[in-house]
Amino acid sequence: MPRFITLLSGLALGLGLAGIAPGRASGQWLEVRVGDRPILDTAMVEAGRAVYEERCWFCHGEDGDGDGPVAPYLWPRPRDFLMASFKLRTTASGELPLDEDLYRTITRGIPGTSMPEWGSTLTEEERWQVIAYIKSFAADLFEDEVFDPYQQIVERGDPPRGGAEGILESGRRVFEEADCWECHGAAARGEGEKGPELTDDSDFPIWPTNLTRGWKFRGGNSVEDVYMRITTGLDGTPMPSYSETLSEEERWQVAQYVASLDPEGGGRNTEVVISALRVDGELPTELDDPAWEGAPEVSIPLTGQATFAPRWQVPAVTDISVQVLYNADEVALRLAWDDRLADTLAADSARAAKEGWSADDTYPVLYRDGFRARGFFPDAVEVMIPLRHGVSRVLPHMVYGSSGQPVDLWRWEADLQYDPDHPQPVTELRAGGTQHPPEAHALESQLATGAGDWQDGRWTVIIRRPLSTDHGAREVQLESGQIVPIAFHVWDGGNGETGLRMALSSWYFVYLREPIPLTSYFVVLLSVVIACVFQLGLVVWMRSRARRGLLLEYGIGSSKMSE
Amino acid sequence: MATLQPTPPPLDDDGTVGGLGILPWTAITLVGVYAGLRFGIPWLAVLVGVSANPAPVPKFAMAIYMLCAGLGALVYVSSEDTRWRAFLTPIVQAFVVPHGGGRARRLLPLAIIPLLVAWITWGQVMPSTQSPPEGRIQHPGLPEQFAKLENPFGVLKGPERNAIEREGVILYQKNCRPCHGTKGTGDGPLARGLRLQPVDFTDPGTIATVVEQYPFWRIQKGGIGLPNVATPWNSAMPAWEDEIEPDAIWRIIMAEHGIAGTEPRKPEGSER
Repeated sequence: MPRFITLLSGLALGLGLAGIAPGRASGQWLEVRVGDRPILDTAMVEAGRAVYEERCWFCHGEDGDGDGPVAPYLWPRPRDFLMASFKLRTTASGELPLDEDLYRTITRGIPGTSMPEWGSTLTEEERWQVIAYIKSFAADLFEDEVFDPYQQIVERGDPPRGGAEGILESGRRVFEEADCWECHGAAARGEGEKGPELTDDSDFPIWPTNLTRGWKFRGGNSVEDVYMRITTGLDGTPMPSYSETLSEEERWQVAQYVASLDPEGGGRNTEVVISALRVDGELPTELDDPAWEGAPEVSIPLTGQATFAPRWQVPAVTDISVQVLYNADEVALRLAWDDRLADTLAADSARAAKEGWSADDTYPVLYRDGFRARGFFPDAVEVMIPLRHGVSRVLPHMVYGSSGQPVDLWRWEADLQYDPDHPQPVTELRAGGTQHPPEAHALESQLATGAGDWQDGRWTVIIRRPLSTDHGAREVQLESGQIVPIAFHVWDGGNGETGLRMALSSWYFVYLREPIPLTSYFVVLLSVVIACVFQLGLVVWMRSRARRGLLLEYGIGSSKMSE
Repeated sequence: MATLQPTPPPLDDDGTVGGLGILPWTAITLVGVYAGLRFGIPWLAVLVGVSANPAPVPKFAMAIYMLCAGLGALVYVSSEDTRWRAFLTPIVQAFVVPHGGGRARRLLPLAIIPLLVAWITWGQVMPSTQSPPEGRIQHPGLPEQFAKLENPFGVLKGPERNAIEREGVILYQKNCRPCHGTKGTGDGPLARGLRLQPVDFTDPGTIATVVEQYPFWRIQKGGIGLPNVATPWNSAMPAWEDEIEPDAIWRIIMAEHGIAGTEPRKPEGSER
């Protein structure tokens, strides 16, 4: 029996310790373990064809041209193997990849794209086989000794050790001096002024990487991986190789700097409840009011609305940061998210006029199936709260509820923000399902207000609303102490997002936390006092028993007591 | 019950390991159970890959489990006379310490109980940010009218079957892949932002345990067609009935099984 207890407690402790370990690691490209490369002969090519025609063809195409039946639904588009141009390599710019490079990419997949990891699905042999087959699409290049990639491997030493502070500072200087910011932006969110003009080798528009979102780096965000990308460039994209322009030391420095920009490594948010802080007096109206510093911040992941047509598989915004403050009368939310361009109808029209295109030619080639809307749309954000909410109530559906369970929406729009004729940028709406677009409340029920501003590739927006209104059950009523279901919707107009083509969150909760009442402290104190009195009584009782010699079996003899 | 002896009973008789004594072992066990409930179980779901977020054990369940663990420990230590005495001895001695041996050493054990009481009351009285419990039944019963359906391609074999599956693969990869993933593992590009994670078809507890009419129902009626016990409000699963023909849904189901490397469960009795 005691053995069993020991075992049980050991198990429980083990479970507890396991809880401290982080979730699934994303893994880095260069860290993929590559075994010995087999000889990729014609038998391997034939075997690879079978794998390819089961697992790869629907995206990369039966002919390897990157144009399978599913390709129009993907962004970024699948690799065209006929061009034999690969982003992730350990060979010099413009050269073919090593077989080991392709092996790493297939094994690990490419984050931020539709390419999954195959390490857990295909055997090592199957992966080498499919590499043999992929290379056969550009056999004339891969078989030509002139292009032998094994003659083109870039040197990679070890990252410099020493004072991290100094390296990051030098890295930042290299980032400035090498003009990285022209595309990647001064705030490194990919908001650089050259961004909108960039295209890849197939003339598809391409955005510079947001360097503060390390989990989406195609080739991993370890210092070594970033160094490799800077050294080899990303072939097929506007990202050049800096092996000639920057010294090895400078490349390590800027790699250290870039890898440091996402310290959390894009860890998944595990918070489901957003704690709202109660403040005395006025709620802040300014976006950068110091009062916001104290409010807990939760980063909520967003996904494309794919439940109702028109579905949205390629949302631009993947996370929104949320803070909530409230006082006796009002609640205020501060929302912030990355967006490379501030899209308003006026700004987009001006850009189109300058560059000579019309709303009708937005996204002409990308989506032949036409599920991306054409036209100019403003950026916007929306908070969704069930019209009727309570602990025992079931929630409305996560996409705009239903006619029986309507939701209220507080929507901020960039266009209204910058429209001098509009009193304020937030509109209150009601939705009950997706059959009809949400409808704005009557004027007397428009109580929400707000403000927003775009800076360095990031929107920050405040939405405020009275906790309760005069219209009872017809409007959302909030009370201090409640846990209120809440969800978030974001539109990036420049990505063709409007209506149901939006980024949305699942249901989360805002807890309008009340200050801890004094009675709570008193109850705790009281319980301690009672426990002490009870214990004192026990001590007195036991001592008297000890004095009478009744506790001998516990090793306490009366002779030992001095009282 | 035997004769009273002035010397303390030997502690190693209680059968514990490492000469620690039964009381510390009981305490360690209870702390271990608590840690397991508090951290182990919530993170187990994440480690196994069932859920992206740790799911905390509801407070009332914690209380019941801890009560059971406490009672169990009490039954165990009191089930034998020597063990019970070995368990009580350090407690009694802490209460009736003779003078000398440092004030702190005397008071420390006495402070444990009030501190424990303070901690438990604090947890009860102070507001916490635990979310409302979201219990969910993953496999609600299949509605009668779907159980009667039959897969028109079920009888096909060889190349004919392969051709149907191939059409299904294209439909799957266009419509289902964004959430359920290219490999059917429930981790498509859109899965990251969903709290209720898309089903992983390669998990033997999902499509492999149900008859193929079950996924047909789920595809046609979607998340909003779920009964309330299965939290339809959290499901981003579309109801495809207006957009995908029944024949195409059967193709998708056959492709799903091919992609995940599973077989649908055979209905009870070969024919119905």
